[in-house]
Amino acid sequence: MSVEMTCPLDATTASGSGRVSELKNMVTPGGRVAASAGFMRGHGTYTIDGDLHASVAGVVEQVNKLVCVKPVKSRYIGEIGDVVIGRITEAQQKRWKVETNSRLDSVLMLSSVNLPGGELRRKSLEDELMMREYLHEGDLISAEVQQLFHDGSLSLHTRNLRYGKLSQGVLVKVNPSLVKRRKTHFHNLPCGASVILGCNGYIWISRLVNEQETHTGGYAQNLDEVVPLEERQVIARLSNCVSLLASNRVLLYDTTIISAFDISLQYEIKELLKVDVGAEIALEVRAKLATETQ
Amino acid sequence: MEVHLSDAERVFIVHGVQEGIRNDGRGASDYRPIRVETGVLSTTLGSARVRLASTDVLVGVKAEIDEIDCKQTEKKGRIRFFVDCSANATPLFAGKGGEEMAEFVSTALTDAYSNSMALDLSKLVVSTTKAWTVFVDVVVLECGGNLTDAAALGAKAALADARLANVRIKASDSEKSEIELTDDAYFDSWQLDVTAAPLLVTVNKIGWSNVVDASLQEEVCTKSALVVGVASSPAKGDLVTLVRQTGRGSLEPDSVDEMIALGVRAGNSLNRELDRILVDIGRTQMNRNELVSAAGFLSS
Amino acid sequence: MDLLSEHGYRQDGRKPNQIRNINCRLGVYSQADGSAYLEQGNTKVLAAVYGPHEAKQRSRILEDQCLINCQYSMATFSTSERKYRPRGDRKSTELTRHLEKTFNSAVLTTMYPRSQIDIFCEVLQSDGGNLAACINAASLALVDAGVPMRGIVSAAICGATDGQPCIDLNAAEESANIPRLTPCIDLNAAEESANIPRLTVATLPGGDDDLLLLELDHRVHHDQLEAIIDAAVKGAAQVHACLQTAIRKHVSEVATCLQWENS
Repeated sequence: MSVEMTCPLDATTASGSGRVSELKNMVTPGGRVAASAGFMRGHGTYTIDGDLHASVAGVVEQVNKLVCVKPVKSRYIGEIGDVVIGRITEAQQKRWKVETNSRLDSVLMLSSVNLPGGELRRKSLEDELMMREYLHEGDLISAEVQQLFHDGSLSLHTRNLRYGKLSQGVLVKVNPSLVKRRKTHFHNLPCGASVILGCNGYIWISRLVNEQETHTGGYAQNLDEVVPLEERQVIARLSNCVSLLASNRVLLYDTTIISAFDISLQYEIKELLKVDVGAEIALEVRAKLATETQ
Repeated sequence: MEVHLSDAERVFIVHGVQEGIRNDGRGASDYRPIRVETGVLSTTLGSARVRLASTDVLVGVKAEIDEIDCKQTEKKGRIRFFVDCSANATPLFAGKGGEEMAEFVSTALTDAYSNSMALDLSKLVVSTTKAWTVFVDVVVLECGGNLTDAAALGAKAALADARLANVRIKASDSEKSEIELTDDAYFDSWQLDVTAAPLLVTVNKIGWSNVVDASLQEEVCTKSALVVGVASSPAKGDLVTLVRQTGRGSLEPDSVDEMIALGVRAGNSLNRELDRILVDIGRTQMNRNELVSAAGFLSS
Repeated sequence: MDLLSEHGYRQDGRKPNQIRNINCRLGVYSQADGSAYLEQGNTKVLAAVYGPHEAKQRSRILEDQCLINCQYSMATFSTSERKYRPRGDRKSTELTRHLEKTFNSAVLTTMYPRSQIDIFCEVLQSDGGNLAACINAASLALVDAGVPMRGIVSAAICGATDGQPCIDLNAAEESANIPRLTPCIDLNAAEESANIPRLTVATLPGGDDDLLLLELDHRVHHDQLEAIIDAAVKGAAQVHACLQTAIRKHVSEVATCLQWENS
């Protein structure tokens, strides 16, 4: 039985990092960014009277003629090729609606999935009726963004054998800006678990995925299988590490997660839930990263 | 917020609980870190804010002088609990969405406190016909699971923090006597004795195991739960002031015994910790001799 | 009660054109998409924003723009006399409509058709200028959520007494019984409950000061109206400066944590 209560009087006030210098290129909504002649309007801006103004608070980014303002926190804005994790909300005619932490629910077309067994054929009427057998409401999938619709919603596909329905594991939700786009988002960590870093801020932690196994497109699930205790402990520790890195605003990629895991081994798994322990680990991770990049 | 889980996630959680390790590494009887503050609102007589992981409740205590109910044999005041699930916590609570949850928690609090041991309501009497009615208002600002326990912690802390002004009866010309409240609301006041006030513990049955302090995901996997009101009085020892079943499932009698036992153990730990915190806060406030009025939203 | 003393100071020591102290913080909740806590003197408000997300009520989906859904609620302990119901009465519904109207004009709704943005305000302590404080807090919460807007909306309440507008009335000032006309900005609850004309104004300072909301309580002579509006807009501009500073500080802190200056 453990009950831990604190009150503000005994918490050491971990003050912010003192004076934070203002960033250059920072704008607030309504601030003028550039004259729109010669510049293209990107995300986070709007035109008025021939001038580009910022519509969100963030940092101005300019790539050639394209000017955008990147906010520090927002809903996920998809790009083609992103790996995302989503939850099925609805099965409609010939497609599923998937919730991906974006402004509108994404769409997974029936033609964009692999059939169980990896068959390749045109989907028949039977397949349409059997859609709920493949994926029903509440299921989690990993997928890739195939295209963007005109209203900004995403169309996903799972046409690669490593995408598909996710089995037993833990989902952690973080701010999408913490997940940078990198070469690979699927990691088999040395500590004994596998992590999928969705660009939309959904992180999936599960037991190690054996690459050599013949994939069935991910639709078969063994719900009777019980994950052993040691693997559960690794998964629990990883999920706490990811949460504490996210609340301390540390970027999430394999290096940071692995170093957080290693540093956290000195604590018990449930101690990682405490705010001060989390802050300390995050600080050590940052210090370790700083020394490594030098 | 709407919490959806896939079948596989559900199975993972249930197996984990049964193996003794929950998704965040806790055991069945471990609580997530709790943070308690008192004296956070200046428009109230007493207030408290409780944060249990991401569950955040703010409790304010106010009081009014009302007529005593003539039908009662012994003269005593009243205590009323009101819970408001603010839409800030989740869009589902907008409009009338949060009423069911709010109703459940306020009824549980009312019933847990409706015994003579919890609070000495006779102290609330000010004259032969009038007594204080104490209102305990709970606002749920953020919901991360286990609202009931957090609300009960907040209610007890706020009642401990409350200062009721001393009242003088002035004889006047008319038949009714006049009630005069003291001008100095802080020093010329008294506090309620909450040592025997109960706390609520929700024990959830997940699979075949019992856990306390369920997270949002664990609440979705719960078939049935038991809310236990636990108080400890120096005179009578441990008391159970409420046992209420909730959820769609049913419970076997043996289960119920185990769950109540777990609830009582957890309740005693919570009571001990809360008493320790309240003593610390009380001592510091006396030393500083001033009222803390920041809501803590600015600093943490 | 006289709003202004003989030396021209108000009950809490402010001059007529002075707003109350503003303290605020963005990102106080982890589960909402955006959130903010704002104190304007003793009025304390918490705002939470959810969205943009897929519209939940099919009947209210707008095909060409985003739906803004608000709720204004006051905690039962927020006023000195206990409030019986937190919301659902006529006044709360009216203030909810004001919030929706204000943010419908400020948020770039045409960019997100068929989606919905929820804005919820909870008043924890009420000391006058509740609507203005809610608009300010909601503005910060929307910025925290990264919702595209035309600018930072700022609001102020202005009363009038003795030939001068008084900005940012507190509750005591709002309740004073003043027949004459002096604009007083940022009324507190005491100032607000007076039978004086009270004007709440929400503006979008920028190139042209766009007025998003104009709401007058009680009555005022036509000649004095312009002076009050003018004072209110100036007060809102002062509020805007505070909000902008807070936002810049918050963005700098977060971006530094995310190490954006290196990337």
